Amino acid sequence: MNNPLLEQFVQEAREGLETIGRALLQLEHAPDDKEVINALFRSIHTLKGNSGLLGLTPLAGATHHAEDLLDQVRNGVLPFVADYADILLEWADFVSDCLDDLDTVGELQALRDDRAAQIATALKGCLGAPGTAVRPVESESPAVVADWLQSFPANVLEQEKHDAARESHPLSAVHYQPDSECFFSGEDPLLQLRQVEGLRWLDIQPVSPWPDMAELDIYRCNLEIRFLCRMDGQALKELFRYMAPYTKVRQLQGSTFRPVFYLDEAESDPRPLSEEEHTAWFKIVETQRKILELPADAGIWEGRLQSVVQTLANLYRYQQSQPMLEALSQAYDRCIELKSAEPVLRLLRGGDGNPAGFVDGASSALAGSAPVAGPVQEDAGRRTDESAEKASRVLKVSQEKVDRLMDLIGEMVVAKNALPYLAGKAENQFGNRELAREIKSQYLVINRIAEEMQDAIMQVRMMPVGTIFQRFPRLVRDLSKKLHKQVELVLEGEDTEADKNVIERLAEPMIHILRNSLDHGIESPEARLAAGKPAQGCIRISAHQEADRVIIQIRDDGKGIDPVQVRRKAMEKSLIDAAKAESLSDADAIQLIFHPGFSTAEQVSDLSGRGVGMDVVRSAIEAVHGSFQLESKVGEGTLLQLALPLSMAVTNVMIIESSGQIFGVPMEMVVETVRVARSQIRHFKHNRSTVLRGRIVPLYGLNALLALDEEQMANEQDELAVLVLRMGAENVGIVVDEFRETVDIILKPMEGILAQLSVYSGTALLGDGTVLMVINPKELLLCL
Amino acid sequence: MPLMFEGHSARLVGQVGVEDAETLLVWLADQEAATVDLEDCEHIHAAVFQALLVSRIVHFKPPRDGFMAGYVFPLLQRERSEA
Repeated sequence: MNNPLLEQFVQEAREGLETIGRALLQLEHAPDDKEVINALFRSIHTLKGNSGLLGLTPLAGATHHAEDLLDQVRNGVLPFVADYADILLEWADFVSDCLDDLDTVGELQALRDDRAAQIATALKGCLGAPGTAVRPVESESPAVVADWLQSFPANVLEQEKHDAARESHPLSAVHYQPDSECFFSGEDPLLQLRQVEGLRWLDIQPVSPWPDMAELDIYRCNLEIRFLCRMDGQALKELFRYMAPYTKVRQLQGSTFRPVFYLDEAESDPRPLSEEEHTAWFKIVETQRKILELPADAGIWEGRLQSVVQTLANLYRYQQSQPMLEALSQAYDRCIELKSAEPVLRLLRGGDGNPAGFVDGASSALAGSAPVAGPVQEDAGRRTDESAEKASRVLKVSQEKVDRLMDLIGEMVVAKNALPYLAGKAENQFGNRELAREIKSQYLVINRIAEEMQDAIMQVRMMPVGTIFQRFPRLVRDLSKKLHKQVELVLEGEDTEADKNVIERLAEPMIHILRNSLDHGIESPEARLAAGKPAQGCIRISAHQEADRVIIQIRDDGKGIDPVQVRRKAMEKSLIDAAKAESLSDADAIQLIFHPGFSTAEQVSDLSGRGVGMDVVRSAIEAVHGSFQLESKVGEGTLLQLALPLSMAVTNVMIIESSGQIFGVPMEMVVETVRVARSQIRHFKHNRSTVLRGRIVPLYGLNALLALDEEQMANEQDELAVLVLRMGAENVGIVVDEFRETVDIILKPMEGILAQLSVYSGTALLGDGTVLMVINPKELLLCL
Repeated sequence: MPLMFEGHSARLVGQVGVEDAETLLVWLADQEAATVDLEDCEHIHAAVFQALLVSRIVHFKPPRDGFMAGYVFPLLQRERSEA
């Protein structure tokens, strides 16, 4: 994807989607929260606008219907119910898929069209749901439309509609209230009006009353413009696309026949009907209703609708009833728009088909629409203000740029480490102590700046863990529905920050853990009630910082892990033998679930229990140099605690020497460094071990592990240097030749063919320019 | 020059842009009874339109331009008659 506009759109849309997902889940709990609804509406509105601007038709189309639904919710026409959340989440998934398309191939796949249509239909279904709304669907809320359209003189409207129909022209009404600051952006509303084709009627009013000439700010646009023209809605929207937030367009008339809805003499009094007329009237209305209810092919229904509506209109023209004619005219327009006879039928059914009922039905439908006019314009305006403000404070930078900066700073750190060597050289080789001292003092300055730079770049890369927590409410919601469990998810400490790399790699294992908690931990509501617990289970995810680590706890109040069952399963899978099973404590037994190939699920489900889950978790956590702790009580719940480094960028390693070479070992694995006299080492066949603080520690020579032929060297007292490392729950001693200092390095992973050398976790440059190979002790010991 | 003043009358010629709005407004504010000649005016910016709308003491010479005569001028006239 090399279109920067598209790139920005995808990025923004993804952020928008996160907001949308969060808001939808919030609404499930608090369906009346106006603020959330408004925020949701704004996000969807922005998404629709942007996708439309980029010509992503299926995306914009489906989003348009989502916006419609939200608009009705926002205006109180529809209550927010759980079904809407399902459909809207499905829509959100669709949007996400579209964004993936744009990310990978730069355009939407063809199959998205069908999906968009399905989703649009589902969303439309919500709007038309029986019993929810008397009013039919509108692209804008009907209340708002009615409101602004009512400010057009009714006689002009009807006359124009009829003329346009007779001459086979489309007719649209536009309400255009330019932004008060629009002159500054080069907008000239009058010039804009000049470009309107077939302008039929124009009215311009001040938005607020004109002040005295002396106080008038001539550069503030104070105009409210309404006009009728013979362009179709689409063309008008195109013409006014840059003023879209300030413009409301409604096509009143296609270029087809239109029944006559206006009275020949305006303002004549309604004519009362005689008994006879009344009976005839009833029959005619009833017949029209029956005709409309007959099934019709797509090709003929419109003609049928027109003739039925004209018949009805004639009835009311005879009766000289202006309000009913207007109601009928509106219902007819909506029928055309929806391609369904439903609005007119609804009008007819409204009062058992009798004329009085018809009147009542019509007027109540009209009256109901008036008071709910929503602050559409206002919101749109505020939205632009907000985003403009935000944009100025936050700078969006691609990760590559930050990474490059970090690499450069890393190199700088390494380069500055050359200065002490230089100082040493000046003193020892050239005997210039003065110069050496000066270099050292300069080094201190550069060192301080470099450290601050490093710190600053780390701050840039810090991300709150909340960014991955966001996905969980949705996950828990969907899974608990699927599993028929009731689960409440509590998130705490979302603001806790850690390096982006750590955060990003955490997402996958966290999802595994959650799935396991949901699938194996939380019981069904019945089982919970039987166990004397509330039917709704609780999963609590909390994060906080402890020294240089981020601690994440995932706690559920489910059935816990049964050590007996774990032992049995482990034996069945030959992971341990009976003797080992016996000797394992309960706390140790449950750790077996992290063993590769372990699964306690009786039935393999598609959620978890594929026998890989927890093993994946372990390796993922270890990959970011994290550690974890599992505690569980049968019947009470499980706690999994993850401890992760704040940052992976700087690694603290100990330098050791063996066979004349130097190697690095990550400090986090080092328990201690000891000197062991050769006499203290016990041999058993090829294996060596020693006793340290009452525990047997197996010893391995580094040279042997690396397949170097030399023996490990001892010091003058015939003591061997042993590096004691922590391997899970055990300690292991590695015999080396000599210990050196510890250093902070920037670890570069191995690349290319070297990446297959898993015994090394990477390389780093030292101050004197030598390359340090950093050993991955776990892999090294696997080579045994 | 799209704006020309002579005593109590102003003549608008061609396209009158936003940059002339303030000049016109200041001039109009000084007038007790003014005449504005729109005959050769082809277009006025909305800001100029606003200036003409608020000055309720103006007499106009109608424009020849179709859009101006058909839509803009009647609105200016209406404001006159309402005032």
